[in-house]
Amino acid sequence: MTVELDPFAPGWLVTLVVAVPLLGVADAVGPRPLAVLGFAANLTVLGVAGGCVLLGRAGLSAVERATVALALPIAVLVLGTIAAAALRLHLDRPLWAALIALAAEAAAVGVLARRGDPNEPRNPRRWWATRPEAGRGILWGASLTAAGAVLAAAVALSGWTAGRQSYPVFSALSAMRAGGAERSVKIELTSEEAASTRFIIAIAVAGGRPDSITLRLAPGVTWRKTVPAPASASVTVVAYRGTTSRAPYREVHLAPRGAR
Amino acid sequence: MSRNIVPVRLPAAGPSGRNRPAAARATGLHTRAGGDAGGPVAFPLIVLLSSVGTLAVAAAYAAGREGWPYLSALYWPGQLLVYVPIALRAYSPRLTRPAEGFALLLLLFVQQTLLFRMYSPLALKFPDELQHWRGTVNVIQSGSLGQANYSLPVAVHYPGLEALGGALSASTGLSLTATAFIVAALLRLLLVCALYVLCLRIRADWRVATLACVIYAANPLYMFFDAMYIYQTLALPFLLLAVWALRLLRLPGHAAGRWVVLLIAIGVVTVSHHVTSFVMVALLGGLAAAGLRRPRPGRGLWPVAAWLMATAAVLAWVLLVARDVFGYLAPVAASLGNSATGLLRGQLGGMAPGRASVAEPLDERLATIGALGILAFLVVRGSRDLWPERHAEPWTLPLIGGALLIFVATGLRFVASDGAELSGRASTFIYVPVALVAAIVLHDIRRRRLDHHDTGRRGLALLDGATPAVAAAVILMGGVAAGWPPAWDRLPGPYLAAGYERSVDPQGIAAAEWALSALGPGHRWAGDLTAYTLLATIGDQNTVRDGGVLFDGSGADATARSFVKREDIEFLAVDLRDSMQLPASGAYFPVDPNAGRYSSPLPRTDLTAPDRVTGVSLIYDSGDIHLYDLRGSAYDG
Repeated sequence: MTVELDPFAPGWLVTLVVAVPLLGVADAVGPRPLAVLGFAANLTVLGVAGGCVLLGRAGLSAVERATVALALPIAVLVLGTIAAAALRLHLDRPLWAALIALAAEAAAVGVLARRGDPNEPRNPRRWWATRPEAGRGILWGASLTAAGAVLAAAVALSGWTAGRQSYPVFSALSAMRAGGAERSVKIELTSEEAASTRFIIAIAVAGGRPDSITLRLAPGVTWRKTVPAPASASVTVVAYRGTTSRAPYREVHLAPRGAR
Repeated sequence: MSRNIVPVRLPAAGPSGRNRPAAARATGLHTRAGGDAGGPVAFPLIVLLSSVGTLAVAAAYAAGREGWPYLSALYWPGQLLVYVPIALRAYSPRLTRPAEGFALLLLLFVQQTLLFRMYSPLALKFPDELQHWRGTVNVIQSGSLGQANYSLPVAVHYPGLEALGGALSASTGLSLTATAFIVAALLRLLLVCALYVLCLRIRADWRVATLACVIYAANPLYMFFDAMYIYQTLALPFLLLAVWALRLLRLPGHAAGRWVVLLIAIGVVTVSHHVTSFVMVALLGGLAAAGLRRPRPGRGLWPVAAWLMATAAVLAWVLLVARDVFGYLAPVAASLGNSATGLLRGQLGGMAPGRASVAEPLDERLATIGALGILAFLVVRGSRDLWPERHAEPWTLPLIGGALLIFVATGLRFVASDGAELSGRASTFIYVPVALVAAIVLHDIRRRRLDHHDTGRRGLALLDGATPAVAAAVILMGGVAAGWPPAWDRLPGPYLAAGYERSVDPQGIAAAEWALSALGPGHRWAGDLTAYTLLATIGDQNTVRDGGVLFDGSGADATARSFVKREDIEFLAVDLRDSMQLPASGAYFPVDPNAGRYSSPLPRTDLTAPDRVTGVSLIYDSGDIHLYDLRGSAYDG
């Protein structure tokens, strides 16, 4: 089958030259779907047109042109970002949008300017495609559909088993001195248990009688409390799981500052 | 060998294959070969077959996660089902269309990318990927390339990948994990394309180029390590593109544009990866030297100019920007030096102190040796066949020389204390000429056999048919077995102590996240191998590699105090699971003098020794993981 396309016709190129900055603006400040569209479009223009400007279309195979079209945007992003960082510019979405838009615009203008170069083919480019011979289309279609289904099953199986892979449940208790002069202690308990769990937290400052707090935490929830405690006092926090405070489940301990 | 290569053109759909001459008689450079018996039908069936292979590997991965005992045996059949049909088709004389050859490569790319990503499809777990994930997070958060990356300090001076990942993530709004998946896949695709077009330009035969890419895909680190979101993955395709652009300079016209492409490729390699940039200088130097051997009328000086520019770029980058690279690579050089010294004393790498010996299954060792044997045979024969072309084609000698380096890489495996890893790392580069030379030989063997095929001897014909399949299976199996992950890590599964990606679990991640949120970035930590990775990447902490001295149960003795003071250690991470399991990788710590010599897990009393040291605070307890604050304690005296 022969499909005749000429993406390098003057009309197309002028449209491109006009569209690239608009796409760049969409990439820089537009809502996300539009930004992605602008970013991808300008990358494509940069790759295809940039390759055409640098290496021409005659003399290169389709695979070589595709390779350059893939490599060039990557190279521009890498080298352009490093150059921008060297100029101490802040690296963010507008900068990258501008970088790609500028490079794509230069490439599109370059192609437009080279139009008419005797080394460049003026004829519409021919895109060759191979399709199954008569009678074999069903086999092709069935095989490729089955292969797609098998691959989708493989990906789904991997994603599903990775998502439900079971790890031992745990809860994490922590205590850190906080505040300007470290006159308080910040305590956290995060539950990663299988189900909502009841804890008893016992907090003892300077070896005194512990204060107990009972709470219930759902999986993934963190409980936080800040208690006053001078830096010179030791602090011990014990978490018990369940309703009784027999065996400590988690325990942290802060040594008094200047204890040695 | 042709100097001016005819441009490659995908062929038009022509007359039915049955009306074409035999493939053996039409092995044109970039033109479609004749003989198309069953051609178009084979491709969709190969797609289906290799997809079934991918499903089998996915089932093996699932078995590893779920603990299903029998399905894990599907791993090797699946791997072979993906690779062997594609390799056989690439070798087959029935492959008559360049487009089909390239489609086979794309198919292999898709399947192998899936095989890699399905290992951990929802999160980055490989330590090397996590290091660059941290670097990319830093770029996005700080808006600069200069923020310290404690997990891989040298990467700050080779920020190509982080620049690319940051740009893509910020521009698309994708999560960094998704961005890493996409960037790594794109770079792998670029590698396939770059290798294909380079081989095509060097040998001017699309069949050879296709075969070379298929053989390269069996190199030890190709499947996993070279597919990761790491800086070498970016540099490698641009190294190949630099050589390709250099080759293009032989053609008339567009010289300025080709120089620009060459310089861009040199630039990307220079700012992206240290070792690849050094390889680039060596490679371009070799090609320049080979070019100078030509008689004066045909001698071009552009390879010398390219080499000088690459050398200047790399030198300037190393001397002005990446001054720490020599310090980073010094341990590797020291290891090689120690290995050489050990060799002089009759001590092979396997017996060297500090080597983490990890047992490989016998069948995998045999496959590794078999693969090396097959490739060595092809390289030797190919070198012999190519030798007469050395005067006509100046790149012949560098090609032969590069391919013969496979013997050096194989020697490293047995000589160096980290021989398997060094050999694997080297194979990423060495397999390029190896694959090309092997492909040239295989192409030649196939052509000769077709010319002298004796259909009367059925046994021989059967053997003829089975040999390529067996060879492809051995090359793939040997490559995978010699590469990453090792046998104990090949399937995902439950937590393993010191098991790299197998050690990355929710409890370790939670501890690292807590460290970052509660303490802020950049504190000095000592810990085991897993803590070293997770705290430095997810936790953005400044971890040390040789903290084993704090785990010997001696508490705050003079050695420990000296270490804490010298390294300015503030915090200590202890994983009590180190007292329940031997280290899967052979070493509990990144730098472990007892690596490979552990016969029992670390005693629990040694791990809890900090509890008994005056002034030490236990600030975090998640059951298995204890985090200690050593500031102001007896350690800190």
